[in-house]
Amino acid sequence: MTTIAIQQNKLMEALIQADKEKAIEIITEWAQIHTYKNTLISLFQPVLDKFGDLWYKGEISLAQGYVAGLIAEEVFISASKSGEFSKEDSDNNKIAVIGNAEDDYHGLGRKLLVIFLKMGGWQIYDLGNDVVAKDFVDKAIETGASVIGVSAMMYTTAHNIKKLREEIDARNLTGKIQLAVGGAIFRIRPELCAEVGGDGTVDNALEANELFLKLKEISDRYK
Amino acid sequence: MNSIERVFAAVTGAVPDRTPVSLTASLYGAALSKCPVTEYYRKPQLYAEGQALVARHCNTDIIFSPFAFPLFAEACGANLSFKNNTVPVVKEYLPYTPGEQVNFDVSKLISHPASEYILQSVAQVAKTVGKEKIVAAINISPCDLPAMVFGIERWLHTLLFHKEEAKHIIMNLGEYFAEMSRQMYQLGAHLVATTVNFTNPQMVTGPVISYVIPLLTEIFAKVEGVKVIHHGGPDFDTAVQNYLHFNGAVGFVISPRDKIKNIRQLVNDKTILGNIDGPFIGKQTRESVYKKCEQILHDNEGNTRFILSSSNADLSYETPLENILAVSRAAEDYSAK
Repeated sequence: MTTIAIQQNKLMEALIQADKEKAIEIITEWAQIHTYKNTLISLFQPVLDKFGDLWYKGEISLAQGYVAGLIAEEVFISASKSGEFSKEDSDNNKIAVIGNAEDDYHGLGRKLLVIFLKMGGWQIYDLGNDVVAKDFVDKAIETGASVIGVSAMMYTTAHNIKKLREEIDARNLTGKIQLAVGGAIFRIRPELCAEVGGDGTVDNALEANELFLKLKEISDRYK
Repeated sequence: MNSIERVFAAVTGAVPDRTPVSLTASLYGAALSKCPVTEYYRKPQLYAEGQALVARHCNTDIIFSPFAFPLFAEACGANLSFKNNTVPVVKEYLPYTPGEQVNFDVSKLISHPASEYILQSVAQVAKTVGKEKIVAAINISPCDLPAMVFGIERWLHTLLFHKEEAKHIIMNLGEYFAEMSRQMYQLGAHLVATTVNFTNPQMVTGPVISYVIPLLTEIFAKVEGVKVIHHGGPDFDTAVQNYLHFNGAVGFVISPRDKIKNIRQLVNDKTILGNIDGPFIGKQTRESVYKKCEQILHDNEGNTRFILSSSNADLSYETPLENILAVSRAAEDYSAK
Protein backbone atom coordinates (compact mmCIF):
# COMPACT_ATOMS: atom_id res chain seq x y z
CA MET A 1 0.00 0.00 0.00
CA THR A 2 1.33 3.47 -0.90
CA THR A 3 1.94 6.14 1.72
CA ILE A 4 -0.98 8.22 0.47
CA ALA A 5 -3.28 5.19 0.58
CA ILE A 6 -2.27 4.53 4.18
CA GLN A 7 -2.98 8.15 5.10
CA GLN A 8 -6.31 8.03 3.29
CA ASN A 9 -7.29 4.95 5.31
CA LYS A 10 -6.24 6.62 8.56
CA LEU A 11 -8.22 9.74 7.70
CA MET A 12 -11.24 7.69 6.71
CA GLU A 13 -11.09 5.87 10.04
CA ALA A 14 -10.92 9.19 11.89
CA LEU A 15 -13.98 10.46 10.00
CA ILE A 16 -15.90 7.24 10.75
CA GLN A 17 -14.98 7.56 14.42
CA ALA A 18 -16.05 11.24 14.30
CA ASP A 19 -12.58 11.94 15.72
CA LYS A 20 -12.11 15.56 14.74
CA GLU A 21 -8.72 16.09 16.42
CA LYS A 22 -7.18 13.00 14.82
CA ALA A 23 -8.50 13.93 11.37
CA ILE A 24 -7.17 17.48 11.61
CA GLU A 25 -3.82 16.14 12.79
CA ILE A 26 -3.52 13.76 9.82
CA ILE A 27 -4.46 16.49 7.35
CA THR A 28 -2.22 19.15 8.89
CA GLU A 29 0.81 16.86 9.03
CA TRP A 30 0.37 15.92 5.38
CA ALA A 31 -0.11 19.55 4.37
CA GLN A 32 3.07 20.64 6.15
CA ILE A 33 5.06 18.26 3.96
CA HIS A 34 3.06 18.23 0.74
CA THR A 35 1.22 21.62 0.70
CA TYR A 36 -2.50 22.22 1.20
CA LYS A 37 -3.16 22.04 -2.53
CA ASN A 38 -1.78 18.53 -2.68
CA THR A 39 -3.54 17.59 0.55
CA LEU A 40 -6.94 18.71 -0.66
CA ILE A 41 -6.58 16.95 -4.02
CA SER A 42 -4.75 13.77 -3.03
CA LEU A 43 -5.81 13.13 0.53
CA PHE A 44 -8.94 14.94 1.69
CA GLN A 45 -11.12 14.96 -1.42
CA PRO A 46 -10.75 11.23 -2.24
CA VAL A 47 -11.59 10.37 1.37
CA LEU A 48 -14.58 12.72 1.36
CA ASP A 49 -15.78 11.04 -1.85
CA LYS A 50 -15.71 7.63 -0.16
CA PHE A 51 -17.32 9.10 2.94
CA GLY A 52 -20.04 10.58 0.72
CA ASP A 53 -20.71 7.15 -0.79
CA LEU A 54 -21.25 5.72 2.70
CA TRP A 55 -23.49 8.66 3.56
CA TYR A 56 -25.52 8.01 0.42
CA LYS A 57 -25.95 4.37 1.48
CA GLY A 58 -27.25 5.49 4.87
CA GLU A 59 -24.19 4.18 6.71
CA ILE A 60 -23.15 7.55 8.12
CA SER A 61 -24.94 9.11 11.07
CA LEU A 62 -25.97 12.74 11.30
CA ALA A 63 -23.25 13.16 13.96
CA GLN A 64 -20.52 11.75 11.71
CA GLY A 65 -21.65 14.04 8.90
CA TYR A 66 -21.65 16.98 11.28
CA VAL A 67 -18.09 16.26 12.46
CA ALA A 68 -16.93 15.84 8.85
CA GLY A 69 -18.36 19.32 8.24
CA LEU A 70 -16.44 20.75 11.19
CA ILE A 71 -13.24 19.15 9.91
CA ALA A 72 -13.81 20.47 6.39
CA GLU A 73 -14.49 23.96 7.75
CA GLU A 74 -11.26 23.98 9.77
CA VAL A 75 -9.21 22.62 6.86
CA PHE A 76 -10.78 25.18 4.55
CA ILE A 77 -9.78 28.02 6.89
CA SER A 78 -6.21 26.70 7.30
CA ALA A 79 -5.85 26.23 3.55
CA SER A 80 -7.09 29.77 2.92
CA LYS A 81 -4.55 31.16 5.38
CA SER A 82 -1.68 29.13 3.92
CA GLY A 83 -1.09 31.61 1.11
CA GLU A 84 -1.06 28.79 -1.44
CA PHE A 85 -4.30 29.87 -3.07
CA SER A 86 -4.37 32.95 -5.25
CA LYS A 87 -7.37 34.71 -6.72
CA GLU A 88 -6.93 32.69 -9.90
CA ASP A 89 -7.80 29.56 -7.93
CA SER A 90 -11.29 30.74 -7.17
CA ASP A 91 -13.86 30.76 -9.90
CA ASN A 92 -15.74 34.03 -9.78
CA ASN A 93 -18.55 32.56 -11.83
CA LYS A 94 -19.48 29.89 -9.32
CA ILE A 95 -21.96 31.88 -7.25
CA ALA A 96 -24.86 30.47 -5.23
CA VAL A 97 -27.42 31.77 -2.77
CA ILE A 98 -28.26 29.44 0.10
CA GLY A 99 -30.95 29.48 2.78
CA ASN A 100 -33.59 27.54 4.66
CA ALA A 101 -37.11 27.60 3.26
CA GLU A 102 -39.69 29.96 4.68
CA ASP A 103 -40.69 28.84 8.21
CA ASP A 104 -37.79 26.37 8.37
CA TYR A 105 -35.43 26.89 11.29
CA HIS A 106 -33.28 23.75 11.03
CA GLY A 107 -29.96 25.19 9.92
CA LEU A 108 -27.56 22.27 10.38
CA GLY A 109 -27.90 20.86 6.85
CA ARG A 110 -27.55 24.33 5.35
CA LYS A 111 -24.36 25.01 7.27
CA LEU A 112 -22.82 21.74 6.09
CA LEU A 113 -23.87 22.63 2.55
CA VAL A 114 -22.11 25.98 2.79
CA ILE A 115 -18.90 24.36 4.03
CA PHE A 116 -18.70 21.75 1.29
CA LEU A 117 -19.68 24.18 -1.47
CA LYS A 118 -16.97 26.61 -0.34
CA MET A 119 -14.51 23.74 -0.53
CA GLY A 120 -15.66 23.28 -4.11
CA GLY A 121 -14.73 26.87 -4.86
CA TRP A 122 -18.20 28.42 -4.73
CA GLN A 123 -18.90 31.96 -3.58
CA ILE A 124 -21.77 31.51 -1.18
CA TYR A 125 -24.32 34.02 0.04
CA ASP A 126 -25.93 32.37 3.06
CA LEU A 127 -29.26 34.00 3.96
CA GLY A 128 -29.88 31.85 7.06
CA ASN A 129 -33.16 30.40 8.31
CA ASP A 130 -36.75 31.23 7.33
CA VAL A 131 -36.03 32.98 4.03
CA VAL A 132 -38.96 34.18 1.94
CA ALA A 133 -39.03 33.63 -1.82
CA LYS A 134 -38.55 37.28 -2.74
CA ASP A 135 -35.35 37.57 -0.66
CA PHE A 136 -33.83 34.51 -2.33
CA VAL A 137 -34.46 35.87 -5.82
CA ASP A 138 -33.44 39.45 -4.98
CA LYS A 139 -30.09 38.19 -3.66
CA ALA A 140 -29.55 35.92 -6.65
CA ILE A 141 -30.11 38.83 -9.04
CA GLU A 142 -27.90 41.16 -7.01
CA THR A 143 -24.98 38.71 -6.89
CA GLY A 144 -25.40 37.12 -10.32
CA ALA A 145 -25.91 33.70 -8.77
CA SER A 146 -26.77 30.86 -11.10
CA VAL A 147 -28.06 28.55 -8.36
CA ILE A 148 -30.33 29.02 -5.36
CA GLY A 149 -29.99 26.20 -2.82
CA VAL A 150 -32.86 25.72 -0.37
CA SER A 151 -32.88 23.45 2.63
CA ALA A 152 -36.00 22.16 4.41
CA MET A 153 -36.35 19.56 7.09
CA MET A 154 -40.07 18.93 7.19
CA TYR A 155 -42.75 18.25 4.64
CA THR A 156 -44.71 21.38 5.50
CA THR A 157 -41.75 23.73 5.14
CA ALA A 158 -40.55 21.96 1.98
CA HIS A 159 -43.84 22.93 0.41
CA ASN A 160 -42.99 26.59 0.91
CA ILE A 161 -40.32 26.09 -1.78
CA LYS A 162 -43.17 26.15 -4.29
CA LYS A 163 -43.43 29.89 -3.63
CA LEU A 164 -39.79 30.29 -4.64
CA ARG A 165 -40.39 28.33 -7.85
CA GLU A 166 -43.28 30.67 -8.60
CA GLU A 167 -41.17 33.74 -7.82
CA ILE A 168 -38.38 32.61 -10.16
CA ASP A 169 -40.85 31.87 -12.94
CA ALA A 170 -42.82 35.09 -12.39
CA ARG A 171 -39.66 37.15 -12.89
CA ASN A 172 -38.85 35.30 -16.14
CA LEU A 173 -35.76 33.74 -14.61
CA THR A 174 -36.76 30.14 -15.32
CA GLY A 175 -33.66 28.19 -16.28
CA LYS A 176 -31.36 31.13 -15.71
CA ILE A 177 -31.58 30.70 -11.96
CA GLN A 178 -31.53 27.02 -11.08
CA LEU A 179 -33.24 25.76 -7.94
CA ALA A 180 -31.48 23.08 -5.86
CA VAL A 181 -33.43 21.61 -2.96
CA GLY A 182 -32.36 19.38 -0.09
CA GLY A 183 -32.80 18.41 3.54
CA ALA A 184 -34.01 15.45 5.56
CA ILE A 185 -37.44 15.23 3.97
CA PHE A 186 -35.97 15.05 0.44
CA ARG A 187 -33.87 12.04 1.45
CA ILE A 188 -37.02 10.27 2.54
CA ARG A 189 -39.07 11.51 -0.42
CA PRO A 190 -36.85 12.36 -3.43
CA GLU A 191 -39.95 12.78 -5.62
CA LEU A 192 -40.76 15.83 -3.50
CA CYS A 193 -38.12 17.70 -5.52
CA ALA A 194 -40.34 17.70 -8.62
CA GLU A 195 -43.44 18.37 -6.51
CA VAL A 196 -42.04 21.65 -5.17
CA GLY A 197 -40.49 22.67 -8.50
CA GLY A 198 -36.84 21.92 -7.75
CA ASP A 199 -34.33 21.50 -10.57
CA GLY A 200 -32.29 18.96 -8.65
CA THR A 201 -31.57 17.41 -5.27
CA VAL A 202 -28.92 15.27 -3.62
CA ASP A 203 -28.86 13.12 -0.52
CA ASN A 204 -26.19 14.94 1.41
CA ALA A 205 -24.03 18.05 1.48
CA LEU A 206 -21.00 16.24 0.13
CA GLU A 207 -22.74 15.62 -3.21
CA ALA A 208 -23.90 19.21 -3.53
CA ASN A 209 -20.84 20.50 -5.42
CA GLU A 210 -21.46 18.07 -8.28
CA LEU A 211 -25.15 18.99 -8.46
CA PHE A 212 -24.45 22.71 -8.35
CA LEU A 213 -21.91 22.38 -11.18
CA LYS A 214 -24.49 20.59 -13.33
CA LEU A 215 -27.10 23.22 -12.55
CA LYS A 216 -24.63 26.00 -13.34
CA GLU A 217 -24.00 24.44 -16.75
CA ILE A 218 -27.72 24.48 -17.45
CA SER A 219 -28.02 28.04 -16.19
CA ASP A 220 -25.16 29.16 -18.45
CA ARG A 221 -27.10 28.00 -21.51
CA TYR A 222 -29.79 30.57 -20.71
CA LYS A 223 -27.36 33.50 -20.52
CA MET B 1 -64.21 -6.02 21.77
CA ASN B 2 -63.98 -2.29 22.30
CA SER B 3 -60.84 -0.36 21.45
CA ILE B 4 -59.34 -0.69 24.92
CA GLU B 5 -59.81 -4.46 25.00
CA ARG B 6 -58.48 -4.76 21.45
CA VAL B 7 -55.28 -2.84 22.14
CA PHE B 8 -54.82 -4.61 25.48
CA ALA B 9 -55.03 -7.95 23.64
CA ALA B 10 -52.36 -6.82 21.16
CA VAL B 11 -50.07 -5.85 24.02
CA THR B 12 -50.55 -8.98 26.12
CA GLY B 13 -50.41 -11.48 23.27
CA ALA B 14 -54.10 -12.41 23.43
CA VAL B 15 -56.11 -12.65 20.21
CA PRO B 16 -57.97 -9.43 19.33
CA ASP B 17 -61.17 -9.51 17.25
CA ARG B 18 -59.21 -7.63 14.60
CA THR B 19 -55.85 -5.92 14.38
CA PRO B 20 -56.07 -2.66 16.35
CA VAL B 21 -55.53 0.61 14.49
CA SER B 22 -53.59 3.64 15.69
CA LEU B 23 -53.37 6.90 13.76
CA THR B 24 -51.57 9.92 15.12
CA ALA B 25 -54.32 12.33 14.17
CA SER B 26 -53.42 15.01 16.67
CA LEU B 27 -53.46 17.91 14.19
CA TYR B 28 -56.28 16.28 12.25
CA GLY B 29 -58.65 17.03 15.12
CA ALA B 30 -58.27 20.71 14.24
CA ALA B 31 -59.18 19.92 10.64
CA LEU B 32 -62.32 18.06 11.72
CA SER B 33 -63.41 20.72 14.19
CA LYS B 34 -62.30 23.57 11.89
CA CYS B 35 -60.50 25.09 14.84
CA PRO B 36 -57.61 27.53 14.14
CA VAL B 37 -54.34 25.99 15.33
CA THR B 38 -53.58 29.12 17.34
CA GLU B 39 -56.49 28.14 19.60
CA TYR B 40 -56.30 24.39 19.17
CA TYR B 41 -52.78 24.23 20.61
CA ARG B 42 -53.59 26.65 23.42
CA LYS B 43 -57.00 25.59 24.77
CA PRO B 44 -57.26 22.01 26.08
CA GLN B 45 -61.03 21.95 25.71
CA LEU B 46 -60.78 22.73 21.98
CA TYR B 47 -58.07 20.12 21.56
CA ALA B 48 -60.27 17.52 23.26
CA GLU B 49 -63.25 18.46 21.08
CA GLY B 50 -61.10 17.86 18.01
CA GLN B 51 -59.97 14.49 19.34
CA ALA B 52 -63.56 13.54 20.13
CA LEU B 53 -64.26 14.04 16.42
CA VAL B 54 -61.22 11.91 15.55
CA ALA B 55 -62.60 9.19 17.84
CA ARG B 56 -66.02 9.46 16.22
CA HIS B 57 -65.01 9.62 12.56
CA CYS B 58 -61.58 8.03 12.07
CA ASN B 59 -62.18 4.52 13.47
CA THR B 60 -58.87 4.49 15.32
CA ASP B 61 -58.40 2.63 18.61
CA ILE B 62 -55.88 5.06 20.11
CA ILE B 63 -56.35 8.79 20.65
CA PHE B 64 -53.38 11.03 21.27
CA SER B 65 -52.60 14.07 23.35
CA PRO B 66 -50.96 16.95 21.41
CA PHE B 67 -48.21 15.66 19.12
CA ALA B 68 -46.39 18.99 19.26
CA PHE B 69 -42.89 18.73 20.70
CA PRO B 70 -42.25 22.46 20.26
CA LEU B 71 -44.71 23.07 23.11
CA PHE B 72 -42.30 21.28 25.47
CA ALA B 73 -39.48 23.45 24.11
CA GLU B 74 -41.62 26.52 24.75
CA ALA B 75 -41.89 25.52 28.41
CA CYS B 76 -38.08 25.54 28.45
CA GLY B 77 -37.80 29.02 26.95
CA ALA B 78 -37.92 28.60 23.16
CA ASN B 79 -40.22 30.82 21.08
CA LEU B 80 -42.75 29.33 18.70
CA SER B 81 -44.28 30.27 15.40
CA PHE B 82 -47.87 29.35 14.53
CA LYS B 83 -48.94 28.98 10.91
CA ASN B 84 -52.25 27.92 9.46
CA ASN B 85 -53.12 24.24 9.40
CA THR B 86 -49.87 22.94 10.79
CA VAL B 87 -48.18 22.14 14.09
CA PRO B 88 -46.32 25.07 15.70
CA VAL B 89 -42.55 25.15 15.13
CA VAL B 90 -39.66 26.56 17.14
CA LYS B 91 -38.61 29.81 15.51
CA GLU B 92 -36.14 30.96 18.16
CA TYR B 93 -34.04 28.65 20.26
CA LEU B 94 -32.90 29.36 23.79
CA PRO B 95 -29.52 31.14 23.76
CA TYR B 96 -26.93 28.51 24.57
CA THR B 97 -23.26 27.76 23.94
CA PRO B 98 -22.33 24.05 23.77
CA GLY B 99 -20.55 23.06 26.93
CA GLU B 100 -22.27 25.71 29.02
CA GLN B 101 -23.72 24.63 32.36
CA VAL B 102 -27.52 24.76 32.20
CA ASN B 103 -29.98 24.19 35.02
CA PHE B 104 -33.68 24.19 34.35
CA ASP B 105 -35.97 24.70 37.33
CA VAL B 106 -38.24 21.71 36.81
CA SER B 107 -41.07 23.10 38.94
CA LYS B 108 -41.16 26.16 36.66
CA LEU B 109 -41.18 23.96 33.56
CA ILE B 110 -44.11 21.96 34.93
CA SER B 111 -46.11 25.07 35.82
CA HIS B 112 -45.40 26.81 32.49
CA PRO B 113 -48.61 27.44 30.49
CA ALA B 114 -47.35 25.19 27.67
CA SER B 115 -46.92 22.24 30.06
CA GLU B 116 -50.24 23.07 31.67
CA TYR B 117 -51.88 22.99 28.24
CA ILE B 118 -50.35 19.57 27.48
CA LEU B 119 -51.41 18.09 30.80
CA GLN B 120 -54.91 19.53 30.71
CA SER B 121 -55.29 18.25 27.14
CA VAL B 122 -54.48 14.76 28.42
CA ALA B 123 -57.08 15.20 31.15
CA GLN B 124 -59.75 16.50 28.77
CA VAL B 125 -59.11 13.82 26.16
CA ALA B 126 -59.23 11.13 28.83
CA LYS B 127 -62.48 12.55 30.19
CA THR B 128 -64.02 12.75 26.70
CA VAL B 129 -62.96 9.46 25.11
CA GLY B 130 -60.94 7.60 27.73
CA LYS B 131 -63.62 5.04 28.55
CA GLU B 132 -63.84 3.79 24.97
CA LYS B 133 -60.43 4.52 23.45
CA ILE B 134 -56.85 4.09 24.57
CA VAL B 135 -55.44 7.52 25.47
CA ALA B 136 -51.79 7.90 24.51
CA ALA B 137 -50.00 10.87 26.05
CA ILE B 138 -47.08 12.11 24.00
CA ASN B 139 -44.02 13.16 25.96
CA ILE B 140 -40.59 14.09 24.64
CA SER B 141 -37.61 12.26 26.05
CA PRO B 142 -34.80 14.21 27.72
CA CYS B 143 -32.32 13.18 25.02
CA ASP B 144 -34.47 14.77 22.29
CA LEU B 145 -35.89 17.82 24.05
CA PRO B 146 -32.58 19.74 24.11
CA ALA B 147 -32.50 19.62 20.29
CA MET B 148 -35.85 21.44 20.27
CA VAL B 149 -34.70 23.91 22.93
CA PHE B 150 -31.16 24.68 21.71
CA GLY B 151 -31.32 23.55 18.07
CA ILE B 152 -30.09 20.28 16.59
CA GLU B 153 -26.60 21.55 15.80
CA ARG B 154 -25.81 22.82 19.27
CA TRP B 155 -27.25 19.75 20.98
CA LEU B 156 -25.33 17.44 18.67
CA HIS B 157 -22.15 19.38 19.40
CA THR B 158 -22.77 19.07 23.14
CA LEU B 159 -23.41 15.33 22.92
CA LEU B 160 -20.24 14.81 20.90
CA PHE B 161 -17.78 17.13 22.61
CA HIS B 162 -19.16 17.99 26.07
CA LYS B 163 -20.19 14.68 27.54
CA GLU B 164 -20.49 15.75 31.19
CA GLU B 165 -22.62 18.80 30.37
CA ALA B 166 -24.79 16.68 28.07
CA LYS B 167 -25.31 14.13 30.84
CA HIS B 168 -26.26 16.89 33.24
CA ILE B 169 -28.83 18.37 30.83
CA ILE B 170 -30.36 14.95 30.13
CA MET B 171 -30.71 14.16 33.83
CA ASN B 172 -32.07 17.63 34.55
CA LEU B 173 -34.69 17.41 31.78
CA GLY B 174 -35.21 13.79 32.79
CA GLU B 175 -36.89 15.09 35.95
CA TYR B 176 -39.25 17.11 33.77
CA PHE B 177 -39.96 14.05 31.60
CA ALA B 178 -40.61 11.89 34.65
CA GLU B 179 -42.90 14.37 36.35
CA MET B 180 -44.86 15.09 33.16
CA SER B 181 -45.25 11.33 32.59
CA ARG B 182 -46.45 10.75 36.16
CA GLN B 183 -49.04 13.48 35.83
CA MET B 184 -50.13 12.21 32.41
CA TYR B 185 -50.90 8.80 33.89
CA GLN B 186 -52.69 10.36 36.84
CA LEU B 187 -54.81 12.45 34.51
CA GLY B 188 -56.03 9.40 32.62
CA ALA B 189 -53.44 8.41 30.01
CA HIS B 190 -53.27 4.66 29.44
CA LEU B 191 -49.76 4.95 28.06
CA VAL B 192 -46.98 7.44 27.39
CA ALA B 193 -45.39 7.55 23.94
CA THR B 194 -41.97 9.06 23.45
CA THR B 195 -39.07 9.27 21.00
CA VAL B 196 -35.37 8.66 21.64
CA ASN B 197 -33.90 9.96 18.37
CA PHE B 198 -30.54 10.96 19.82
CA THR B 199 -29.74 7.36 20.73
CA ASN B 200 -30.21 6.08 17.19
CA PRO B 201 -27.10 5.04 15.19
CA GLN B 202 -28.48 7.00 12.24
CA MET B 203 -28.29 10.13 14.38
CA VAL B 204 -25.35 9.81 16.76
CA THR B 205 -22.14 7.86 17.27
CA GLY B 206 -21.60 4.69 19.29
CA PRO B 207 -19.85 6.46 22.20
CA VAL B 208 -22.78 8.88 22.55
CA ILE B 209 -25.28 6.02 22.53
CA SER B 210 -23.27 4.16 25.15
CA TYR B 211 -23.52 6.97 27.69
CA VAL B 212 -27.05 8.20 26.90
CA ILE B 213 -28.83 4.83 27.09
CA PRO B 214 -27.92 4.22 30.77
CA LEU B 215 -29.20 7.71 31.63
CA LEU B 216 -32.52 7.03 29.91
CA THR B 217 -32.71 3.64 31.62
CA GLU B 218 -32.37 5.40 34.97
CA ILE B 219 -34.95 8.06 34.08
CA PHE B 220 -37.49 5.58 32.70
CA ALA B 221 -37.09 3.49 35.86
CA LYS B 222 -38.41 6.43 37.88
CA VAL B 223 -41.77 6.29 36.10
CA GLU B 224 -44.11 3.33 36.39
CA GLY B 225 -46.57 2.83 33.57
CA VAL B 226 -46.91 1.55 30.04
CA LYS B 227 -44.62 3.19 27.51
CA VAL B 228 -44.39 3.05 23.74
CA ILE B 229 -41.16 4.11 22.03
CA HIS B 230 -41.64 5.87 18.69
CA HIS B 231 -38.92 5.74 16.02
CA GLY B 232 -39.07 9.53 15.57
CA GLY B 233 -37.49 9.95 12.14
CA PRO B 234 -34.71 7.36 11.77
CA ASP B 235 -35.21 3.61 11.33
CA PHE B 236 -35.37 1.21 14.27
CA ASP B 237 -33.65 -1.86 12.85
CA THR B 238 -30.25 -1.01 14.32
CA ALA B 239 -31.58 0.73 17.42
CA VAL B 240 -34.59 -1.00 18.92
CA GLN B 241 -32.64 -3.65 20.82
CA ASN B 242 -31.22 -0.86 22.99
CA TYR B 243 -34.70 0.02 24.27
CA LEU B 244 -36.17 -3.38 25.13
CA HIS B 245 -35.14 -3.11 28.77
CA PHE B 246 -36.65 0.35 29.37
CA ASN B 247 -39.03 0.19 32.32
CA GLY B 248 -42.60 -0.26 31.04
CA ALA B 249 -41.70 -0.35 27.34
CA VAL B 250 -44.30 -2.63 25.79
CA GLY B 251 -44.36 -1.45 22.20
CA PHE B 252 -42.34 0.15 19.44
CA VAL B 253 -43.55 2.33 16.58
CA ILE B 254 -41.27 1.41 13.68
CA SER B 255 -40.39 3.50 10.64
CA PRO B 256 -42.03 3.04 7.23
CA ARG B 257 -38.70 1.69 5.95
CA ASP B 258 -38.27 -0.90 8.69
CA LYS B 259 -39.02 -4.52 7.80
CA ILE B 260 -41.55 -5.95 10.24
CA LYS B 261 -40.05 -9.44 10.07
CA ASN B 262 -36.59 -8.12 10.98
CA ILE B 263 -37.91 -6.04 13.86
CA ARG B 264 -39.99 -8.96 15.14
CA GLN B 265 -36.82 -11.03 15.58
CA LEU B 266 -35.34 -8.22 17.67
CA VAL B 267 -38.29 -7.38 19.93
CA ASN B 268 -39.57 -10.90 20.69
CA ASP B 269 -42.73 -10.57 22.78
CA LYS B 270 -43.05 -6.78 22.57
CA THR B 271 -45.73 -5.19 20.43
CA ILE B 272 -44.89 -3.64 17.07
CA LEU B 273 -46.80 -0.61 15.83
CA GLY B 274 -46.45 0.45 12.22
CA ASN B 275 -45.70 1.26 9.64
CA ILE B 276 -47.80 3.40 7.32
CA ASP B 277 -46.14 6.71 6.54
CA GLY B 278 -48.51 9.05 8.44
CA PRO B 279 -47.98 12.39 6.67
CA PHE B 280 -48.28 10.77 3.27
CA ILE B 281 -51.60 8.98 3.83
CA GLY B 282 -53.10 12.20 2.58
CA LYS B 283 -50.99 12.23 -0.59
CA GLN B 284 -52.13 8.80 -1.77
CA THR B 285 -55.44 7.42 -3.00
CA ARG B 286 -57.63 5.49 -0.61
CA GLU B 287 -56.97 2.38 -2.75
CA SER B 288 -53.20 2.71 -2.39
CA VAL B 289 -53.53 3.33 1.36
CA TYR B 290 -55.67 0.20 1.60
CA LYS B 291 -53.17 -1.86 -0.42
CA LYS B 292 -50.26 -0.62 1.66
CA CYS B 293 -52.09 -1.61 4.85
CA GLU B 294 -52.88 -5.04 3.39
CA GLN B 295 -49.20 -5.50 2.63
CA ILE B 296 -48.21 -4.50 6.17
CA LEU B 297 -50.78 -6.86 7.68
CA HIS B 298 -49.50 -9.62 5.44
CA ASP B 299 -45.91 -8.93 6.55
CA ASN B 300 -47.04 -9.37 10.15
CA GLU B 301 -48.97 -12.58 9.45
CA GLY B 302 -49.12 -14.93 12.41
CA ASN B 303 -48.35 -12.50 15.22
CA THR B 304 -51.07 -10.85 17.27
CA ARG B 305 -48.71 -8.49 19.08
CA PHE B 306 -49.23 -5.91 16.39
CA ILE B 307 -51.06 -2.62 15.92
CA LEU B 308 -51.59 -1.25 12.43
CA SER B 309 -50.30 2.26 12.98
CA SER B 310 -49.11 5.41 11.31
CA SER B 311 -45.37 6.07 11.59
CA ASN B 312 -43.27 9.21 11.17
CA ALA B 313 -45.05 12.48 12.03
CA ASP B 314 -48.69 13.42 12.47
CA LEU B 315 -51.26 12.97 9.71
CA SER B 316 -51.42 16.12 7.64
CA TYR B 317 -54.27 18.57 7.98
CA GLU B 318 -55.48 18.02 4.42
CA THR B 319 -55.73 14.21 4.60
CA PRO B 320 -59.01 13.02 3.03
CA LEU B 321 -61.14 11.18 5.58
CA GLU B 322 -61.71 8.34 3.09
CA ASN B 323 -57.95 7.68 3.08
CA ILE B 324 -57.95 7.50 6.88
CA LEU B 325 -60.89 5.11 6.90
CA ALA B 326 -59.09 2.88 4.38
CA VAL B 327 -56.71 1.93 7.21
CA SER B 328 -59.34 0.49 9.54
CA ARG B 329 -61.19 -1.04 6.58
CA ALA B 330 -58.03 -2.93 5.65
CA ALA B 331 -57.66 -4.16 9.24
CA GLU B 332 -61.30 -5.30 9.37
CA ASP B 333 -61.20 -7.00 5.97
CA TYR B 334 -57.91 -8.73 6.74
CA SER B 335 -59.24 -10.14 10.01
CA ALA B 336 -62.43 -11.30 8.30
CA LYS B 337 -60.47 -13.40 5.81
